[in-house]
Amino acid sequence: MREARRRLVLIRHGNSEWNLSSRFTGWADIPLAEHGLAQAATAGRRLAAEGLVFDEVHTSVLQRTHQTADSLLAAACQAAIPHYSNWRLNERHYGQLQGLNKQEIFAIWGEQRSHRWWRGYTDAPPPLALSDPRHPRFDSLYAELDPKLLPCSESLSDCQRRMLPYWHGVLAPRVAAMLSLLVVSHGNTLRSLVMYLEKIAPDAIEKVEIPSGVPLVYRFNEDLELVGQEWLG
Amino acid sequence: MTTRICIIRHGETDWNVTKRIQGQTDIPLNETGHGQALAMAFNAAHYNFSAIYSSDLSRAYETAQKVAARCGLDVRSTPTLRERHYGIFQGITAAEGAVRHPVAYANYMARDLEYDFDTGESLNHFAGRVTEAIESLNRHHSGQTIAAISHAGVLDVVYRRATKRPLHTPRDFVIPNCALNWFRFDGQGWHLEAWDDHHHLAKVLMESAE
Repeated sequence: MREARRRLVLIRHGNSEWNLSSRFTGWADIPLAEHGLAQAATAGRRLAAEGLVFDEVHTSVLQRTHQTADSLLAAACQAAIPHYSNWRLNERHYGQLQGLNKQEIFAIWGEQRSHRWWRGYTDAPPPLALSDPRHPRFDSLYAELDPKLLPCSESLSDCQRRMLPYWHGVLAPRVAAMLSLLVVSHGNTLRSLVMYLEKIAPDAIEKVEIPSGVPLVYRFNEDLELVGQEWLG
Repeated sequence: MTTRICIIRHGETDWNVTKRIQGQTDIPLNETGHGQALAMAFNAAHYNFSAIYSSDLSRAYETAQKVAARCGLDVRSTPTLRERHYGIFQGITAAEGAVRHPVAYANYMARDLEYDFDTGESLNHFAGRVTEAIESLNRHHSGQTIAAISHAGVLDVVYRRATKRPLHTPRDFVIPNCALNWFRFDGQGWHLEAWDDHHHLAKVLMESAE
C-alpha cells in the first residue's frame, strides 16, 4: 500500500446525548452517548480490517471527538499514537441556537430563517452576547487563545475560514510528508473541509451530508490533489 | 426477488435556467449542475450500487460519471434512458411555442397522448420506451440495487406508473435536479419508496446532528 500513503481519513464523531434529543450542540461540550461509543468502535474495527494504520490523530478540543478517537483507536489496536487537539477543528459555533432543539428554534425564529442558518453557507445564527455565560471566552478550554479569535456565532463560511488554516498549516504538510492521519471532527467542520477539497460550490454544499461514525478515506497525489475517495460504511 | 432502482435527474443546464425545452438536444451541465452532481455523488456513494446506468445525453452522462467515480464503477450508457424527443419544440421555450405553434402548444398543455410534435415522440410511445427500459434493467439486475441517471420526462413516467397515476393529468409533483428517487420492483409491480431522498437522507444522517 505504499502508493496509497498520501492519505487522510476523516470521521465525524458518534452521536452525543444532545444529538439524540435533536439539540444544537455547536461548541457546547457534550459527551458521547453509549451508542456513539459503539459507532466509533465499529469504525475502528472496519479501518483495522482494511489494514489502515495511523501515525497521528487530530481532533477538536470537544470531548465527543476525543471519546470517538479513543474508542475507535482502541478497537483498531492503535491506541498509542500521538493525539493533537485543536479548536480549529471544533464544530461550527451555533450562537444562540446552542442548547435549543428544532421545535424551540422554529417557535422563536421561524422555520425558513432557521433552515438558512443550518443548511446555508453564508448566514450565521444570532450571536451570543459577549456577557453571555455560554460565550467561549468564559470556557477554560480556550483560556490560552487570543479572545479576538473566539466566535459568538458562525456561518458555515466562518467555520470554514477558521478551519482552513489548520488544513494548510498542519494537516496538508503532514499528508505531503506521507504521515497517515485520522481526523475526528464535526458535521459542519467536515462539510467545509470536504467542500474545499472536492471544490464543491456554496449552493451545492447544503446537500452534502456527513454521517456520524462512517470513515471517509481520501487519497492524494504528490501535488496534494484528490485522486481517490471512499466511504467505509 | 426485490430490485431497487435509484433514478436521478441530471444536474442543471443553461437551458434549464432559461426554460428552453431540451428533449434530445445535447446540452452539457452548467457550473451549478456540476456542483449539484458532485454533492449528490458524495451522498449517493453510501449506497452499494451494483451498476450505474445513464442516458447517453451529456447532461445525464456527466452527472453519472461523478457517481460512478465515487463508487468505483463504470457508467453504462444507453439511448433508452434519453429524454422524450420533443420534435419541433426542441430548442424553444414553451412561451415561444405558444406563439409559433399554437396547435402544438395546445396539445402539449393538454398532455395529448398521441401527439408527437411532428418529428418527436408521442407520450404513449415515450412511456412505452421508458417502461421497456426500466423492465430490462429490472430483469438484468434482479435482486440488486442500481442507479440510473436520466431525465425529468423519464422520472415523470416512472413516478406515475409506480403511484398509479394516469399519464395525461397535469403534473402535480416537482422533479428536482440530482435528487435520489427510489423505486422498488418485487414481481407485484412498481413501487415508489422515496422521492427526493435528500430529505430522507438528511433526516437519517443529520436530524440528530449538528
